[in-house]
Amino acid sequence: MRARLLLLVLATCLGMLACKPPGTQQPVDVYVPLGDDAGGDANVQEAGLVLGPIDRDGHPLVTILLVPGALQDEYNAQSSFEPNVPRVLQDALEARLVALDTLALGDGGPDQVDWPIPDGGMHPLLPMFVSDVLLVDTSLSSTSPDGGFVSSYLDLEREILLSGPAHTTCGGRTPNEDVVDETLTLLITDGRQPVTQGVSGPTRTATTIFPYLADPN
Amino acid sequence: MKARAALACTAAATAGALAALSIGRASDHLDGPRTTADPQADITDVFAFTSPEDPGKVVLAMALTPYASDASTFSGEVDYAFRVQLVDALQPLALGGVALDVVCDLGGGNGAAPTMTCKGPQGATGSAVVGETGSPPGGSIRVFAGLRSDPAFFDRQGALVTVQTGRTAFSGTNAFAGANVLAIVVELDSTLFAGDSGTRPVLAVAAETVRRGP
Repeated sequence: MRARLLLLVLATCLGMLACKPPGTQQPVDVYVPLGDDAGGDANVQEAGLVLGPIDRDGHPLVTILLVPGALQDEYNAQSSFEPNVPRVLQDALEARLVALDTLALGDGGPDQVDWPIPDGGMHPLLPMFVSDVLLVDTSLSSTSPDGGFVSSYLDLEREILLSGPAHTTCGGRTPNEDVVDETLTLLITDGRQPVTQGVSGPTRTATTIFPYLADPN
Repeated sequence: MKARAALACTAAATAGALAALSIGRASDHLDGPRTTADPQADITDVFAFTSPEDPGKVVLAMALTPYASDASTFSGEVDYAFRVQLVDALQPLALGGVALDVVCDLGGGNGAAPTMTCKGPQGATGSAVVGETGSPPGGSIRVFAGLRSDPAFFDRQGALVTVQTGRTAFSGTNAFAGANVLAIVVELDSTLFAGDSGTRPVLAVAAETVRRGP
């Protein structure tokens, strides 16, 4: 009970973080957590594993960066194509997007707002992460003239959802690309200034030969 | 008083929103209690791209099971699904709304070796013995299922310091250096998703796992 109350308070606070006046805040759904506080989940097997949807993944880092831990199971259980997820999830995602937008870079102060929320509107990136799917143009190549994979991540999303230039690659996501840097840069500076984690690549580089992902270590 | 309470709540939310980032997890590894408890269904990454070997085909790949080992196995009680829809229009974005999924599960083998079988649109099928790189001839979906090097690379400790201090502080240390995952890779003719048009379409793709039980 106390956990539920805490979650309700947190959800309310996260909703306020979305820069909406308290008086106009939309109602926040009450999150009923699973696991210890579930009070008997009919989907829990004897072995403790839960039946039904377990995980979903489109763009990398979404659940990790944008969804509070208490809501991650709920987020993962939504259909990847569902735009109308519970309000509490949308508010939580939007709060995280707002917080990351002004994350301080190095020794500087809070970074400037790159993603202002229009009056009565939503964070411009929110739709991309609520209905979380990769967009891939199968008529265009994934490789460059030198034979390696191109950097294609977000190529279509930038054109379609962010009014960027026309895509020139297959988009989707190819192996070896530093999607963490691209995600951090998008969320924090919108490309105005690169943000890097400093990791140059995976342990083993993927190849352009089936099954593409590198042999195990 | 009310304003002060609201400010305090907002400040708490700000700190919570950053400090609660799951810095021990990435890029989709261990992303919640359910997935952490069920590594066979924990998707760590998904990829979608035009085949480098055959531009008429599309490759869909999902990585699973963080820090997998030789002993790691796929579950016979989980559907490993690539959810796919056609993109009907780019501006504004409009999806077709019809599921064109490719769903894989352990089944369809005729021997003792675990076999991953995948079924896609227009009756496309394919299978592969887990760990072997060659699909049996005749399948319209090329399949691989087995252990791979983790394609993710992420500075977990740097992220920890970043969220603790509220400012970027990455050091470039890959938390997944030397780690492995289980992976399912499928490759199929992209026109299979386009119905009778014969075109190579724009697709919307995600990976999902569903535990259906025995």
